[in-house]
Amino acid sequence: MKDREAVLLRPSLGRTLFFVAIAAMSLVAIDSTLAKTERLETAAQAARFYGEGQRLVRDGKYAAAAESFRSAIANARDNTEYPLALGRALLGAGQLEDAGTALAELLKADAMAGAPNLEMARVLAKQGQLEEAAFYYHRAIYGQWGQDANANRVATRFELADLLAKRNSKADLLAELLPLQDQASIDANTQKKLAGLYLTAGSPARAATILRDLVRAQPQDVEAHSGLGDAEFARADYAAAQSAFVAALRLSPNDTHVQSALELTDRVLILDPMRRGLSGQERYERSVHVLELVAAKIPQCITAAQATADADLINAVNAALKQRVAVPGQTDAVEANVDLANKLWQAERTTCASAVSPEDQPLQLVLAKAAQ
Amino acid sequence: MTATPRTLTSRLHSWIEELRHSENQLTLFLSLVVGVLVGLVTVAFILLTGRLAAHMYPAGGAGWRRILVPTLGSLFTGYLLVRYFPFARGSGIPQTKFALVVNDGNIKLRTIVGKLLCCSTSLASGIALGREGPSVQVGAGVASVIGRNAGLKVEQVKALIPVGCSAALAAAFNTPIAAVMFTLEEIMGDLHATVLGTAVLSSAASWMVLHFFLGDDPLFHVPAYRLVHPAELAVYAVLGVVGGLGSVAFVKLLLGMRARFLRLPARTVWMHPVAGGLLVGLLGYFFPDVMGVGYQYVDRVLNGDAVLKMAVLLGALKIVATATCYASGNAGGIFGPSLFIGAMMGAATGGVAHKLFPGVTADPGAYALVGMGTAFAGIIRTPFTSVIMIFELTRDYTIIVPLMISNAIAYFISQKLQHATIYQALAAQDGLHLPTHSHAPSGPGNVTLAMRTSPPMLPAQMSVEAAMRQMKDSELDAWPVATDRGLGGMIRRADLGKAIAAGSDGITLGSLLDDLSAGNPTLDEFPHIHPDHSLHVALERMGTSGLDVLPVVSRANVRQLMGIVALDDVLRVYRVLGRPSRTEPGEGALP
Repeated sequence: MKDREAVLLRPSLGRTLFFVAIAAMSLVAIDSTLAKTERLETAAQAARFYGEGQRLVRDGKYAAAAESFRSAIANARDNTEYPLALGRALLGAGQLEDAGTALAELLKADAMAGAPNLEMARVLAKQGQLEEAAFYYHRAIYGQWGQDANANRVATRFELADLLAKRNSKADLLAELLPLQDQASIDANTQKKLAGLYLTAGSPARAATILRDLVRAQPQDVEAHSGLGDAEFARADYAAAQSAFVAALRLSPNDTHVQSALELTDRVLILDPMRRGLSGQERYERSVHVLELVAAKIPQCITAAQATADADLINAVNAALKQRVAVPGQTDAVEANVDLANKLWQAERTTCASAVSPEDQPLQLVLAKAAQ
Repeated sequence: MTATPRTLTSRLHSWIEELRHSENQLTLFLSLVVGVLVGLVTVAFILLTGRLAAHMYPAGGAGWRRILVPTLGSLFTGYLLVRYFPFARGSGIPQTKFALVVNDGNIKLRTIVGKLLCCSTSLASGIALGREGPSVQVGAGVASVIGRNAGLKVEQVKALIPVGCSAALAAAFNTPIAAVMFTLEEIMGDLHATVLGTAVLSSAASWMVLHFFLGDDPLFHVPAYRLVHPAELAVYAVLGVVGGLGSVAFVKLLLGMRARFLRLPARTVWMHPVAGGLLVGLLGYFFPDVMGVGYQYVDRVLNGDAVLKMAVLLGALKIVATATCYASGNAGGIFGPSLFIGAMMGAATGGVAHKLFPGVTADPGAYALVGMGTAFAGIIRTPFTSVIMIFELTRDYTIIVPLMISNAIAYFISQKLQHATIYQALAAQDGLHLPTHSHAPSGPGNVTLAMRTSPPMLPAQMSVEAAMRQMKDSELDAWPVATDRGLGGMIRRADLGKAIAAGSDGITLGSLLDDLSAGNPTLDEFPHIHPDHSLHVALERMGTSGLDVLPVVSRANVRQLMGIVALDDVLRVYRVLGRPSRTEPGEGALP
């Protein structure tokens, strides 16, 4: 009875559901068409804004470009290229906070995306937040890159290395260079850059190895010869440095850097009592000369810094000069003289605390080499 | 080969039969159907509006379009609204409540089509109104059409209306939870309404349809704001005050302007919307962000791209533009504009605070975000919905506590300075008396229990002496008076006596009623009660009006007398005067 009442109450349920189904299908068709049209139009609009922004970036109008990129984003929020472009434009415009915000949004969606991490690292580096910048550089290095992933990773690591070189963070820099040596391409420029960074990181031996190979491969490369000279000079192999500089100067006689480096190297070699191939007598005379040069600086220093002069230093000079006369044998005498000269030099550096003059540079280098 | 289709058909038939016999299954199934269909309709509405706008305002179009298009658009829709779709005017929320409470859940298909067509055109042309309110009416309409055509009972159709509302709002605002909250809080006026389950189901279904077609993109993209310092809560409280006052200003301006438009001759109604269109066009020529709903500009402000002067100016202009557009009879809602106005008020307040106390205050964007909810709470007066809605719109939970504080203050101020909610006031201007949450039935029952047939109405032209003679033998202390518009009010025996004692030569009941109601701004304010009111409300109104007899009138037309309620009848229901008489009160409950 109850069922019959229900049926009587709703005689048109089936028919209504049929019409509802027809209406729903029609609406699906309408919605699909409209949605597709809208998607196409907004994507085209976004692309127009993006193109305009790119043009403005090329013209150096970063602030205006950022506005165009914002409009592009508003039209196509799924596109990750647009927020990245916005971040770059804002970075270019010097709006670092806004750039950071834009990139942070992008990174929220994909924390390991390579390019946004790199841009974020650049923003933070510009803000002076170097620790944080290094963190994002590393995320960029180990993150996801669409095309040319290896090249991008190497370039990013080089950028980080440059930043660390500027900060003079030698240990950190060396830690970046070691993997770079395996990843970087073997082209000459990359190898020369790598060698330069090794020099900055305080690893001239590695730099010299790279450049020696390069010189062998490209004997006409002036920069390679010059770089090798610098590397050999840094590792105190002045004879090798001289050879490299001479080779470089032969290829490029007007290179002032090589000229001055060679001149300095020559002066060091003339002064160096430890240079290979010298006779015992010559070695001894050079050691005496070095001692005399250092000793001669003491009174100058005292005169120049009368306020800080003290009796202990004077006594040390006199004692040293007496020791010079009392040397028992020639070989020992060379070492003793050089050792004394080193002590005096250190004392002079401590007391005077002035910058080493260009004239004293060879002396300093000889003493440094002897101290090793 | 033919066995399979037969099986499917017969299965379908038996399933429909099953649905016919099971109330619960049918309700759930229809809720799902309504949710999907309303979602599809709302997506079509959104996309259609967008496509129309793209054609009306092509990229790089001339500035004069901003004046011409809204003017012509409002002229076109004004004609359509008067000629073909008279019930598609305005927001749609009061109309939906009217359908639910008074009209047995009846919304015509024609109204749905008219609403979609007129709103799409007017919103695309740049009219400063929103799509959310109209969507609610469309959603309710779809539910009504399906329910009625499926042969559901009136109560079942009425139960389907909130289902359509929540589905529509979920898709229009991309806020499925707030949609359900709004349906319960505003449409039903009861957070514990039994339709909660079906409303949630339809909301979820509609939201899924929206996501299928338009993707998962929030309406606004907001950076993660947070409370910078506990002292900032004081600034948010100030924002609550600003939002409350701004909301009241907006509502009063809108109602005031609408009252003036309603007083204009009926033959001019078709051209009223042009006033809104032209004003928006002129303002939009100089400030394009005033046009339309303005969500793009709100998005920019929320992201901190706000200039203090511009925020103040645009907030003020939007108030004027939206009030004019709505008051002049354009099709569109006030949800969206409320958010715009709130965002500007928030950005302005936050901008000032950030200048004065930069160390302890967040970016103005955070205040714009809270301001949106504040204005919504102040204008629409649904505080729970506004909190949830802001959370859903922005998907940011961190700003909720300041939002709650600001909302509560704005809501309190708005309630104090503007007694009726905007939807009640709008409905009242149209002669509809919608129920409020405070008047929900409570106690022993509603007025129908004590209602009795009214004595014949006394004509307004009747002299007081004649009226006194007619009332002399009646047990009733007051009688209804009929004017040319219908019920004019109640006249008490005591008032007649006083008039006669004071010398009543030539005084008619109509003039006496006018004298008695001199303190009231309109005659619509005469004391009355509706059949669904509780007896508590009847007693309260008898107490405040001094009448022992109240007219029971229709919610659809306050001048339509349905019966009367006398104090003795109410007391009988309360068993203060013994058991109620089954012959008198209640006899005339339904005319």
